[in-house]
Amino acid sequence: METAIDSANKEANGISLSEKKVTVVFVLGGPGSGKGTQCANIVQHFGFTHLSAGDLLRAEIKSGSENGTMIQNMIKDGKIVPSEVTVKLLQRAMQDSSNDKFLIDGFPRNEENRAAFESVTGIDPEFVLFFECPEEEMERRLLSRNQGREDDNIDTVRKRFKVYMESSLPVIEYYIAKGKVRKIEAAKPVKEVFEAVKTIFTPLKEKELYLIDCKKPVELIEAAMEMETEQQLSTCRGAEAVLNLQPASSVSIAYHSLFGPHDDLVLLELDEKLLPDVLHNSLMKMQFFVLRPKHMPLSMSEPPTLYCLYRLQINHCCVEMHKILMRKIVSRNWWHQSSKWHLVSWKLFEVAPRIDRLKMLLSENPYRFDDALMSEELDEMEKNNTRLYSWSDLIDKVQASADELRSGLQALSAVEIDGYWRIVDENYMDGILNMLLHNSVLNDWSLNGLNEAEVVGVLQSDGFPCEIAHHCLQVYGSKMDDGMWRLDEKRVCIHFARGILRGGKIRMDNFMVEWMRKIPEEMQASFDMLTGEVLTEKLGIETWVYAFSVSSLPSAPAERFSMLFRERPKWEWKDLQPYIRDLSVPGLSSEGLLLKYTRRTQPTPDAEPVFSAR
Amino acid sequence: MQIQVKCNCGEQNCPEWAIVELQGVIEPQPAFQDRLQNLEIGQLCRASSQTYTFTVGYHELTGSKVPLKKPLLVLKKIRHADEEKVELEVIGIIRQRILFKTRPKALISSKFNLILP
Repeated sequence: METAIDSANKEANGISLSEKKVTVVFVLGGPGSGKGTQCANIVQHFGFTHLSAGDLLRAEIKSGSENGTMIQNMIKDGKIVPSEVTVKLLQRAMQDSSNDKFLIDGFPRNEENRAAFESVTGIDPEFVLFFECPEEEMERRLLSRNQGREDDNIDTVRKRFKVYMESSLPVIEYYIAKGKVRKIEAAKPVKEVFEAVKTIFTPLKEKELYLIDCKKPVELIEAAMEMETEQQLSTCRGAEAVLNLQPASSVSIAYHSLFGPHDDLVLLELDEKLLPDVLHNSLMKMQFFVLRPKHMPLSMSEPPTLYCLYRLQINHCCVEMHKILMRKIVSRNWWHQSSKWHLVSWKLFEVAPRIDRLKMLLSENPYRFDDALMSEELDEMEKNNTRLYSWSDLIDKVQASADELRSGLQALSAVEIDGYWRIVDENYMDGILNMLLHNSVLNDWSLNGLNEAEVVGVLQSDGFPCEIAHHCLQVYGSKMDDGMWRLDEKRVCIHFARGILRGGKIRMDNFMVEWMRKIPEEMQASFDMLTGEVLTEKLGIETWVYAFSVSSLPSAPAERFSMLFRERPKWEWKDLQPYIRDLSVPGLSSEGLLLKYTRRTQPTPDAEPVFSAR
Repeated sequence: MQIQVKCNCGEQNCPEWAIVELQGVIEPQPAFQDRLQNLEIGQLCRASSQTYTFTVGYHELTGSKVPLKKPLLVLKKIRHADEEKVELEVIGIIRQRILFKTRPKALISSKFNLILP
């Protein structure tokens, strides 16, 4: 409800509060008629802001400004302060306030005030509240009220009455003619007067509420609460009234005119960070699962809680949504009502993408030598029977977002051939890499500056499909700024190491010899290139080495750790780290992962920590 | 199955709804069971900057405004008559709730118990 008001507006004279639509109620009546008292009640109950012209003037005096002193002298004489001064003070107060409903108390006191207010602010009051009270009553109240006001002594009081009779009554007459006056008999006790005030102000309240399922008690997700819980929701206007409720004010809550069961409404709880994704027209793809609790309760009094799991993708991240289905708890015989499921709310949260499934799907049919030959001969029928997956198939079958799927495919070194994504068989890759290296020697190519067209052309003439040739460059090399390709030393050496170890364990010294022999002449290999790819073990006095690649391990943390501990019961951090650094679980840090899945021991404070299974 | 989630209001302008959370059941008097629309339930009053009171009948609840740990979106299912598609439209977001979790206090005095300064 805050509006941006230019400071220019504040400075210039006579600019209306055009940017803020305000509701103004004038509160008029003789001195001591009870205006101030009732205004306090109205503020509390109806959310108005009380602006008393008198208080604003007194505050201005207190501030000690030049304006203030002038005002002070006039008040001592019982005279009325010039209109512009008061109107400006009121205007400023209305602009500064965050509210849009104002009770203006003790203004306008005469025709001049009234005219000035209308022309300066351009505001027409909603209505005028007039406290009608006989003079004797007002005098009695004033002399006993002890507010510490300078003008509450008998002489000033009499002067004030005179002024009031002469100047203010015509204003009231003016508004009566316009039909805007609501009269209140002010000579009654405070409570009764307030009842009358309430009747006048009630239509201005906002009381729209949109109740969901009041008849069907509804449980919240936090089912730990034993008592039934109900939720009431409000539409926008009612919501604003509730959310912006000011201190010392109240609002009425009522059933909406459209109240009733609303099966088309759903509440979705989600992390703040997923909000932008969901709000930008996201697409949810769902697979529907129902998870039953391990045992169904035997007693009639306890209804079971079922979770319905939706697996889906939302833009950039992979999320799961749990729809929590609850039974109605209206009557004891819930068996009868067991067929009716009542949807309450959904929970959306981010999970790690299921890349393992991608790997499994693509490994069903890796690309081999024979594929290259057969591709033209396969007819449509056969192609459908073989398990080949295109991008759209994968998006459907694998629970991951598009970005995650792409990075998963890259991590698996998959290649798209004929519209299908394939993993290439190791032997085949070996073949093509060797062919590339062989040709580089023959044609005197530099491994740091390979010409793409030339390489692909030569490989094609050797019988490799063009996509595979490109793929080979991408897997083992990187494209540089000048468009040439450069073979990556580490990747090539790892490839050869894996080739050597495919046969099984080898003694370390033999392995190193063999490895040095196999790698291209221009390249250097060192054993630490193989972290995350091989493990060593000591058999007797000899060290043996065998293949154990992180890429062959499952990507879900629980399975990953169980495989690791099956391989070796105890791991030192430096050995373990390369095998878990690619694990990512939304909401869990790497320390959290370790805490959750491993037991950590440290024999002495300076020794390396050792991890084992929980 | 694909479901489109729409939000016509843009991220910043999602209308903010309010939740008043109670423990217990609000029951209208039996005479009013069928005519609940527009029936007043009670008065929600913000007594100070931190405390809220909710007066229903002759019970008074005391509570406070608590932000939700995770925001709730209010979605509306739109089923197109001609197609099979179901769409979910975001019609509001809830970030705050006014939580009443204490036992209600019985107001023994008459119904017209006004809060006066």
